Amino acid sequence: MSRRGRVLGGRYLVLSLVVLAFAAVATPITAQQPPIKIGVAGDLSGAAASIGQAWADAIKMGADEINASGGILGRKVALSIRDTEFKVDVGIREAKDLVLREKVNFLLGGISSGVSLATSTSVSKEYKVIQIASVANTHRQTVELFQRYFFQVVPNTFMEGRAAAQVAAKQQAWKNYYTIGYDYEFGRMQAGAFVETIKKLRPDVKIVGQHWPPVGETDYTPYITSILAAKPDVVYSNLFEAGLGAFVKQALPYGFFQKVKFVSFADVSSMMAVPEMPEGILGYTRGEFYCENLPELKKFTEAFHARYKYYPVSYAVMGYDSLFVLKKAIEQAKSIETDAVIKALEGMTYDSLRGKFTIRASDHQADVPEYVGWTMKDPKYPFVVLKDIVKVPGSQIMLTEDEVKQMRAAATKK
Amino acid sequence: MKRWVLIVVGVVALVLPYVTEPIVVHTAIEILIMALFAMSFNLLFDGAGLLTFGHGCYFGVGAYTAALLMVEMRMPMFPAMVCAMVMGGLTSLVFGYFCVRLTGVYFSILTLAFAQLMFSVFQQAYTITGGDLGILDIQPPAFLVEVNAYYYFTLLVVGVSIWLLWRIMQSPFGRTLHASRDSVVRTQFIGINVRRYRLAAFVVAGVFASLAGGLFAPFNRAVAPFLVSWVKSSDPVLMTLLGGSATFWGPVVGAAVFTTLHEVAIGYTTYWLLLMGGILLFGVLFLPGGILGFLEERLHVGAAAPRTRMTEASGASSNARAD
Amino acid sequence: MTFADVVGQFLSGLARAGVLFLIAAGLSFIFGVVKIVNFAHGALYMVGAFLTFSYTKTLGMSFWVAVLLAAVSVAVIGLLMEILIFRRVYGRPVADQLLLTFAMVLIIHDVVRLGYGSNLRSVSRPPLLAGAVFMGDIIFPSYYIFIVVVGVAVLAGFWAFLHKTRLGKTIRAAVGNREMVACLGKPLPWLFTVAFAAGVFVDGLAGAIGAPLGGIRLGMDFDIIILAFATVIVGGFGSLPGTALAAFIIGEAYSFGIWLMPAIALSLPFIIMAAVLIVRPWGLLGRSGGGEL
Repeated sequence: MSRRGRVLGGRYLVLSLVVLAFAAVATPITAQQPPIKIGVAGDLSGAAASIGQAWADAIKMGADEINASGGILGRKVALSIRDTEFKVDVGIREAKDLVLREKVNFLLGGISSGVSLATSTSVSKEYKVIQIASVANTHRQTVELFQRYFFQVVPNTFMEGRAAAQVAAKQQAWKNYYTIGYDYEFGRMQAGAFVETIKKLRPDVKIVGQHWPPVGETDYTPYITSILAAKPDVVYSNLFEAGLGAFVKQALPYGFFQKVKFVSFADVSSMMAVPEMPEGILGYTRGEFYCENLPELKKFTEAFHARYKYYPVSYAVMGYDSLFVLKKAIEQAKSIETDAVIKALEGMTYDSLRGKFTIRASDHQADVPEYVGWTMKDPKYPFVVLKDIVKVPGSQIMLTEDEVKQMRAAATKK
Repeated sequence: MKRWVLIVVGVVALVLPYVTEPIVVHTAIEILIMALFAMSFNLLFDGAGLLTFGHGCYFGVGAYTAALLMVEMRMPMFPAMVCAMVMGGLTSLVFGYFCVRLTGVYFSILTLAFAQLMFSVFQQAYTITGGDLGILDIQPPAFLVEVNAYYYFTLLVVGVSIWLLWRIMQSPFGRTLHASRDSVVRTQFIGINVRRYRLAAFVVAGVFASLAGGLFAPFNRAVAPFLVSWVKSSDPVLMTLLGGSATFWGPVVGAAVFTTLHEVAIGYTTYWLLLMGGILLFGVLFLPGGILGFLEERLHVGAAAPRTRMTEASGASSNARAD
Repeated sequence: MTFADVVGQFLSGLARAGVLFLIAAGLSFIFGVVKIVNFAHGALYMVGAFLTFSYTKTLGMSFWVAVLLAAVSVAVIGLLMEILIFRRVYGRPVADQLLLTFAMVLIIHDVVRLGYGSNLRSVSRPPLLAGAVFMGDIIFPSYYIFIVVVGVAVLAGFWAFLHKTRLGKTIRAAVGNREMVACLGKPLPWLFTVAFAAGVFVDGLAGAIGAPLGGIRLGMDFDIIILAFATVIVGGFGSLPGTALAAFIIGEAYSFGIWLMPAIALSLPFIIMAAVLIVRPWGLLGRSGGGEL
């Protein structure tokens, strides 16, 4: 143990520490007109992988279009895309990294309502960065846990549950309901909204049971058999994507869809994951490309399909909308300064791919519609689509400002 | 470690917020919390020869206790952190009681299984723990909201805790633990109730782990069931092995390197597990002493006492029960 | 709640138990013989499932061929792992072995992610087994019957191998007393390799036949390994009948739990495990000496 060796060892350590510190501090030299940095934090893997990927693809396409036509206020858009893996802790970490290290000016996301809510409270609010959600739709983001930097251009869980309930209530024969929803923020909030609304519209309705399988569950048989044992008229589900696919696949041998009626998510991503989806199911979605006959939507669909070789799901449509909503707000505010952009967003009316909508100032929720219809096979597409679509306008399903006030008060009183 | 190295590190730690950006301070806070977590793990691993794969359980319990008390009961942060330690201690007492009845591999597997039990409970108890989402919007007191302030607070708490851990390991209790690690039979022959010592070590480790969790909750502003899972439990294991379990400061070095690597890596690749697995593989096969062990051996720095780790060898027919 | 419903729930639990048994049996066997706790067992199960997907969807093989090939492929991977990595640490402290297998978990997980991406995959049940058998009101999905048959066959096969063949008897002897078997001139390292390969083969088989049950996704590895550990703990390390019994208990507890006690259904395996450990720390059918087959 020579003295020299000791000193060497100590220096080694200090040197590494200093190097590490420098590495963390080093920042690139900024260009003359820095790009507008937008952090795109969504679940690109996990239970909603294809949803997240479609969403990110649409945003990428939108960013390229914007940059090709001169950018926003003459500045290019630079996207930083992160995968939050459908996990709350990963979401917070990635969003924090985007804000603190990459110093993004805005956040788009998330996909999972849980992750989105967590990033809203822990990152968006904390570091005062605007977050616009176009897929994650728990109403708590705009109601109980509202914070002024958060905006939502997707129908929230209350709106979605309400819309499905309004259409389901019209089926007089449907009296006994069983619900099955994912055991996380979205699953619970949305199914809860459905139950609350259907009971109000049809006091004769009974909820005979509720199941909350964990997200990512692949074996639904015990749920299926116990649902059948309870003999309900209708099963309301908010399962999606591959999970829904597994459910349907496992339910078919039991003759499930002959025994009960089914209400389900019917977005294109989920339908692509469920090739065996039966027809005649009551399906709900937030705005598929076939739901509206608008020229902008058609143009977008064709461009998306040409570039990515698959059809854009509603989440892609809404992701694209969210990016352009942000663009309009920045242009209106003539700056990227957060408070100015917030002011521009509040009350803004935007002509989206789904039609016009307005972002309400009191809760930052856009009055977007929900679409409910009946599943049917279509030879044009490799997935099941909806027919006899009822477009439930946002105004019909949104929480009134009084309701929002009441819910917020109830939450803080606790 | 050599005194002057410690002094330099200490000075750097004290001036860090004034010479670097917030992101570095954030990372530093995380390193400090993880260092405490890893040190508490090493109390069991190097101190008592017990490899626990379920230490995340107590970290999570501490974090959740602090979170629940601060959000639901509006309790101020300091009493909430004390309660977190109490809960951590109680949980480790209950689980530890059953774990220390087993030895070797059986002990390790049981710690893992208990952690997963807690994880599934936390995930399912939606009304209490918020289920998959966990608890959000945990606000530290106003004077600690700013990251620099929180950094100094964490530095203080972790510093004191490490000093306490050092005292514990130097005390007769610590020496006895080392003895029980090196030879259970001989220790028993001099009249020591090994099981009781191990349980005590388990509880002490649990208390410090839950303190780390209690520090983490207000820092992260949110807690989720993941913190209780066995995957989280692997963090201190990796950190300690990376830094070198046979030295007192190994876990701290490991925590620093691991966390910094992680922060840097997530900007470039998503294949973080591959990287970690590779490092672990390399470390176990070629660097059994970890970074500090390697440094000390090659550069003859400090005196690393030759020691054996987990002497229950796989060859002999090992008893499932401890004595 | 009718008899038919109870039977239906029972059968879905049995299928779950079948897959769980296969995984846990491999784990228990490897531990009993080679004394390695193979953390990577769940990861290899996942590899078996993904390979089955590749063999059927990408390479267009028939289901039966794919399943067998997937199990063999996983056995080969396990063999390579054993020869290249685990052999180096047989003499080392147990902690090193645990850490190595854990490192393999992380590596395999990301390698699979590299190869397959993060999307969920699915494998269809073969047409022969896609339907169901009807007995009055009771519905038996054919595929579940198949899984139970495979599980029983594996259990019987293991038993026959260990008690009726020479190699099997040698392995049992090695579990009881390694040194003696070495003294008798039996090549221990190769015995271990065979045992390891057998345990991993069953694991890959579990992944292959479990694949059409639900979806194939990243994360299967983490989820199942804990359940497998719980099963082995409840049954007793190194006891195959114990593993079968434990798998049955846990599978049924899960199935009926979802039906009758949904709030704690997912925690049930661990509650059972904790209860067993408090009363009998060496498992239901294990021995306090550490296990015999």
